[in-house]
Amino acid sequence: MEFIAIGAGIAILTGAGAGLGIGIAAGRAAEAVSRQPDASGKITSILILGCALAESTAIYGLVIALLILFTL
Amino acid sequence: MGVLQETVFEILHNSENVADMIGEKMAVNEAFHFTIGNMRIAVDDGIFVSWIVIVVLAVLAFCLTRNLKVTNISKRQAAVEFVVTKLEGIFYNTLGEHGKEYVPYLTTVLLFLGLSNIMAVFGFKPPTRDLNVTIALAVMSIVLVQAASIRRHNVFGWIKQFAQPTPVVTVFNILDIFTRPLSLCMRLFGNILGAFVIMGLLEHILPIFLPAVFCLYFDFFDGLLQAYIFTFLTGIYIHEAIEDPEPKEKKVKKKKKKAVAAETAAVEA
Amino acid sequence: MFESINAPNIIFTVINILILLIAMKFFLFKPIHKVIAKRQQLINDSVAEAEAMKASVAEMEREHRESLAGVEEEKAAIIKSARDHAVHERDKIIEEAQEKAQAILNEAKSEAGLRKKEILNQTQSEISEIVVTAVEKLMLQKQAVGADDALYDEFLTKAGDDHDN
Repeated sequence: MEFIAIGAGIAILTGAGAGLGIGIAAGRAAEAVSRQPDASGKITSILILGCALAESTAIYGLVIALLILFTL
Repeated sequence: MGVLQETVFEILHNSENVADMIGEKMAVNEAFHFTIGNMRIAVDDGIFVSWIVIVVLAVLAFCLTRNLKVTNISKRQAAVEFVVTKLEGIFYNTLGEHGKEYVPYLTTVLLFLGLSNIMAVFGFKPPTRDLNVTIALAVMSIVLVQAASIRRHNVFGWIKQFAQPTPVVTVFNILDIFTRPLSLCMRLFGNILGAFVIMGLLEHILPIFLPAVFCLYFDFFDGLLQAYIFTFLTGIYIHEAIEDPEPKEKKVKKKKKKAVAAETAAVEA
Repeated sequence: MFESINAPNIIFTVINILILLIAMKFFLFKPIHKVIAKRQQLINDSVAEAEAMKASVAEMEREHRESLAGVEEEKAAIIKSARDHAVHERDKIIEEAQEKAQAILNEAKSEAGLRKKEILNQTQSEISEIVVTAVEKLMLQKQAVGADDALYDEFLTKAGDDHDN
């Protein structure tokens, strides 16, 4: 019973990579906007796209954790 | 401090209810079933809700396109035209000029996913919470990409495309056929399921205020964004499969070097 | 969660999406594409028409300007020739008038001389008539009265004087 919980806890650690990646992307986006405030609309849309793509690994971890918790 | 302690105490004591509730939310229930011969085919509730989505979309499309005029159009028609043009414009940019035929399919999938991901607001379980729906969508996407590649280049070209850009990555290209739809499917499924479960948790904690506020982020923003990303990535894969391979790099590099050298000589002189 | 994957549901979803694709294409995309294409055609037509009209107006303007230039030249030439002609005519008319005046003068002069002579003649004849009439009258008177004895005496004296001398 406990090892299942530990397994789920380890599975959710993939969120760390996603947080790091999205944080770096947001920082670079802020820098880009500070260089060229006119392109802020385009930069925002590119940022949103990149964040959604980078978050997929964290979502994979969440799915595995849910699987482990509720069906194993 | 008193209120917070009490709330946490309540949650901890209701953990069995929470587990049950989450389990119920994640499980797929059967809507109805019918028998053909001696096979019992069960239709899940996800399929049922997606039927509802299809009917709503078709009825909307039918109602909004009555009495179309060329000039002097009404506001409703202008809004519909604007929406359709904007949605198709996204894919025209991504697909390039050879992919014009695939734009209607991508727009349809975008509309379907956009509406079905938001279904949680209306009280239904979103059909994409069901793994079957996402697997079906992903399989359709990958079949479409390979079919587009075969159509554009012939079968030989399709096989040759696995060796691009260098033959070393052939294995990865072949693996891509399987991993790309898997990632598409899992991304969509995980996002929608996660949002659904978290909304359930929030409802369990505070049924009145919290869900309405977070609903904006989890349901609307996340759902629409995931729908857009699904179709956008499919479009990019199609574009990659359709476009002609670039000319060999050696000749291009030599030409570039010569051009750069000539430029610098002219600037210095 | 993986145990709920079953093939019929997947096939159902695929069929659903295909049905939706056909419905959307028929209800939504075809009419809107048709309307947009028609509007684009309208705009293209009106733009082409405007272009054609502009071209024809430019052509007409060019022709107009050319013909105007030609007309200017013609006008100048016509005016010049008219002026020459007028001057020529004027000179001619003046000459003729002068000649005519001269002729009339001459005629008048000759006629005046003739008239003078005529009048002189007439006057002379009238005067002689008058003298004859007067002499006749006197002679009658004298015959009636014999008043001119004195005149005869005088005449004879004078004649005698003349004869003596």
